[in-house]
Amino acid sequence: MSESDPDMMKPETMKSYIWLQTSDGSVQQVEQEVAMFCPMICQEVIHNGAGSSESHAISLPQRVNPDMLSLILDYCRFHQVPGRSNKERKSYDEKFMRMDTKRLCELTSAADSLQLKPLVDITSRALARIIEGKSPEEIRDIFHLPDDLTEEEKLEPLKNTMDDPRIRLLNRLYAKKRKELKERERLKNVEIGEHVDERSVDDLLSFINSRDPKTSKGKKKSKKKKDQKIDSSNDREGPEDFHDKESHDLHSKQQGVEETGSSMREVPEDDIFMPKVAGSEDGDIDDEIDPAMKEMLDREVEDFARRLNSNWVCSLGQERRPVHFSINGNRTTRQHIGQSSGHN
Amino acid sequence: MASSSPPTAMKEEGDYANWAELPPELTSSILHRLGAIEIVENAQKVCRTWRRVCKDPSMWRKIVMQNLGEFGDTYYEKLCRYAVDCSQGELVEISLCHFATDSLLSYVADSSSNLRSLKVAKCYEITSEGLMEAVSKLKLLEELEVSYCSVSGESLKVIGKSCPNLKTLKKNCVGYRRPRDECDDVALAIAESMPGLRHLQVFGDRLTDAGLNAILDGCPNLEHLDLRQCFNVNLVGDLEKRCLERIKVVRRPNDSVHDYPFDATVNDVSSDDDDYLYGFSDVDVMSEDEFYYDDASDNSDFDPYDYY
Repeated sequence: MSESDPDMMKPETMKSYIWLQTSDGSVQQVEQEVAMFCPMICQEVIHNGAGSSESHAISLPQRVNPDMLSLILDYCRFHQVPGRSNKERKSYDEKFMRMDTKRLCELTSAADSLQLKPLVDITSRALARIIEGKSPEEIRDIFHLPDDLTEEEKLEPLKNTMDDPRIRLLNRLYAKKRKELKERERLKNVEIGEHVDERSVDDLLSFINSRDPKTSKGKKKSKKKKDQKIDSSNDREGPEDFHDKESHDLHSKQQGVEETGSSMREVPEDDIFMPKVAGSEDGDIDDEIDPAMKEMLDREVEDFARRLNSNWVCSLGQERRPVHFSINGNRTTRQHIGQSSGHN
Repeated sequence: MASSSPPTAMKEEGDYANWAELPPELTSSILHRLGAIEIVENAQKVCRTWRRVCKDPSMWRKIVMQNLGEFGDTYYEKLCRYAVDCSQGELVEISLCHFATDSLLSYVADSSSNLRSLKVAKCYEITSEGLMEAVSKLKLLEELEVSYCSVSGESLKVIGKSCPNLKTLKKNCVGYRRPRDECDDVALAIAESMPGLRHLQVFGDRLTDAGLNAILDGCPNLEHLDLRQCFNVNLVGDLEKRCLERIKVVRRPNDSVHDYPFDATVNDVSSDDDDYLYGFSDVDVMSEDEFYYDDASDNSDFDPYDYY
């Protein structure tokens, strides 16, 4: 297919060739019937008379690099042959589509710029299949997309469910918890107070946990669980992640030990705890803590709401294996929540 | 080969998929394939660009939602409303399976006067009146499917009169062989009110020859007629001739159901079989959720499925 190809001189093999130029400047000849399979090229030839010689090569769009062009031409070369059966074509397409995600993106883009609809269709479908069933984070990873949304935006549209009675309950509980934690800070040096506080917070948490329908038989159960939790919460690293994290957080405030247990949080909240634990002047600490603690609590509320939402939504559908659904965060989270319900 | 540079093409830094090259329309068409739920729950939350694409009304011109049992009806309802809101009145086509209610239909109808195609299937909560009220607001409707939902002849008549552009009607239900039950309500309603009909599918309907004749009289433009499992119709002789000479494609009562999208089990009950689950095939109605249902749940906003 090069210029100096002697075959080109022979009359019997005198095919028509179209000259194409890719964005990197390189030029090549392509058999006419193959190139004309691309509507964009077809238009250039017919309307603008381009492509008939090297100096009049058709300038292909930016998105078509030589690598992609080669792929596309292979595709065209196969499909422009009229006699093929649908089965053959379909089989070819399936094999053709086997490539890594990066190339798939490039190919989709290139095909689109050449207006090659059938190819755009199958590549789009392949991309959709890759995206399907994945969480936003996973999708970002695969396609290297920026994480540039606010937390609020990530919660939509289930934010609309803030009028849900359970969310309201959650907010009330959190207000209560905030108060408790403030109390706790003040009583930090008083050993006696702690037990009472801990119990009530665990009560809250187990109550929240008990909303999970798989295990819950109503509020009574939470009272039973409460006792269990106080004993086991220190040791358990297991599935009840968010609950444990809560009680661990509280413990760390008392013990001044950074918790290493279960952490699905992206936010290093333990760091926030550390300075608090170090200081012992109540007055100063109160002033310092509030904004930091508030921020921490805000994040926890968000996280809680998120998890409650996912729990809530799952519970509406009588929680099954939570495979597809995810508001935010990783699969591990969801699976833990799913499993934890069985352990209550 | 030609004098091209080696195919190590323009790579961005790093070895990752370059979505950035895809123009918004293309991103939109790719994400649209994910379906309403995934768009709202996942795609929209990936990044700013995708969010913009997902919130654009053009993404929501066609909404297809099916309750596969992962979440409760309430969730699907809420999501559907959200999707309809996103369309900002540009909704053209909507298809709902296994979850819609009268109030949702009303919501759709009120916000989408440009709707051309409405399909509801196995929406057991929809009433005939609710459907009629909603659909009669959709003056531009061209295609209506009401499969395995209740809709009376009267309602169909009102719908037909309110929607002069209606060209496709699909009203499918479970086929009845026994006990023999004849009813021409649907057929007569169609004949009276839908003169522009081109495509009619009444799978499993209980119309008789009289009803069919009425349809042939009232719908002169019919091109496609699906009478599968209409066991009261005896498609022979003059009636058969009449059908075949005017209509391009006729599916006869006993034709193959291999390309029918729903379960085609026929209701065939002898009179002494009292306990038979009357009306809908078990395969349709039951989903795995029934096995997981825990009735100790104290959530009042959770609606158990309406099983027969």
